[in-house]
Amino acid sequence: MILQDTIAVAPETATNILGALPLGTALRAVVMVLVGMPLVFLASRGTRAWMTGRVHAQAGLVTGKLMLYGGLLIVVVSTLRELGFSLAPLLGAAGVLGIALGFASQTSISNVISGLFLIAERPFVVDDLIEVGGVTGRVVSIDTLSVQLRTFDNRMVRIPNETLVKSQMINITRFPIRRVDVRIGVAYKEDAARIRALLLDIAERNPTCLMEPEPVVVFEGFGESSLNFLFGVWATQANFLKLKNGIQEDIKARFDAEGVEIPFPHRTLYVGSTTDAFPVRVVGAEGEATPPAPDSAP
Amino acid sequence: MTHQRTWGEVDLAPDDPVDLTLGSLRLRMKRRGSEIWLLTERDDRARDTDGEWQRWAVPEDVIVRMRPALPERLLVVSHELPFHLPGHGEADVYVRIPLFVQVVVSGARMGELVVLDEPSFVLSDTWWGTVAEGELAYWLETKARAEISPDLFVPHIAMCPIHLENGSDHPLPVDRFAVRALHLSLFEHDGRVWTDDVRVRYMASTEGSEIRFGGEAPEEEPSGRRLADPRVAIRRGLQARTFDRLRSLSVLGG
Repeated sequence: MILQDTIAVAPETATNILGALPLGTALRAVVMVLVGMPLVFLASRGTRAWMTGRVHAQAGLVTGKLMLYGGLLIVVVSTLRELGFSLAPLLGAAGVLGIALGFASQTSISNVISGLFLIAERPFVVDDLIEVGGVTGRVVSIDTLSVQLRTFDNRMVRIPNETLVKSQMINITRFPIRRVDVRIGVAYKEDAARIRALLLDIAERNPTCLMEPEPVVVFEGFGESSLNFLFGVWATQANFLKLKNGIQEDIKARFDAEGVEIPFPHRTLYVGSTTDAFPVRVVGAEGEATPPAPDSAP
Repeated sequence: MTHQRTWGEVDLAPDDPVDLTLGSLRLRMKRRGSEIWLLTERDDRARDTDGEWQRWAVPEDVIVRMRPALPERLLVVSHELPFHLPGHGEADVYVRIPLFVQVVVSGARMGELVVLDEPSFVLSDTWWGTVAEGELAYWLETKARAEISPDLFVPHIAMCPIHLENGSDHPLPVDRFAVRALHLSLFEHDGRVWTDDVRVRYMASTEGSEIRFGGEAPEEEPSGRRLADPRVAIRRGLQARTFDRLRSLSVLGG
């Protein structure tokens, strides 16, 4: 019953307030909103474009948003003042409300502050490829509270700014070139120097493999079944995947052509002495009766 | 099949395909109705040998020309016999640059259109700079040399004369250096293809080098006729890193 009364009275009160305003004041307030809002949006877009062109996309995003929120606040406050609202009680109420909201929105504030650190430190920019907590994706936007990533399978991932500040982040595209590491094992019978020469020749023949920095071949050691090598070749960011696929195909094809064995795990068994031959008895040979299997005996 | 000179207008008659081999590039062109068909194949290490025809629908009265072009990137070349250039010393070197093959179609109603721009040899990529910054370049397998001989000239490789000058007080090791070929023009005389001459003045390791391009047929072949303009024309020279290169990285590139 009380609620119904309130609902009935509210429009009446609002009508009274507006009705009590001089026509000029009301018109000025309407003009302020109609002119101020588009101006703020235009200024925000202009600032973003200018900063993106002069500084970088991230600075454009942030300054554009600051301009938008700041401008909207000015328009709202000015309009309220024009309508005769006193801002002092509002500010007082805002202070009390601010404390309450502060407690309630600690996470959000933490994200905002973390966002400022990210902007200042610039560990990545829009369009960089980054890896955070097992998620790899391209940075689509850096917002007030979070960073948006687009993954390779075209999903959007939202990562809170606070998480980015707290956790380890890898910027994959920060530098213009990357090294592709291929670990290869060859049989113990192979000549290590020949393998090194073959690998370097494979790199030289692949056009997407950068000649400088020079490819490297590191003899990593003696594995259980193979001589282990690390083969490192460099590519531009754009050619990284192409080279990663291509160089391994080249290695396989070339090793096959040159008769280089890529071994599977071997296990040598010794019985008794390490020097004596492993005893082998041939059964079922021609002219001999094959002994019956134990479980087939009558 | 028609035999013809390498660069210039191509007589592309209907049902008479033209076959050309330039370096590792095999090019076949033919006219079919109002279309021009192009097929490129490779017989070397390149992987991009798709062997599919490219078709271009053009007016029937167009002229088809073969035009050479220099690579669109920086070239990194090493000297066959690395040497040191003393302070304020000078030296001449020659670099052989594999050309790109352009097929250009032009006509009164369509202007000029490049329908093919392929290297005669697939050049390897390399990096000019450090692991943190630099630019993508082509690696030239042909070495720079101090002297040239007639047998070094083939239609799809241009000879680039470079005059090196050490403007510093210290000896300059001439091992590997960069050639900015995209600012060079091409000239031909008697089947020999030349670029304009390049003058490189090394200042100091931090200042880079002053590079100037002649813009005309080189002194070695003054009567050469112009075959092609630079990909990127610049009026005067420029200042850029020419001798500094990626210095010895540790084994793992750190």
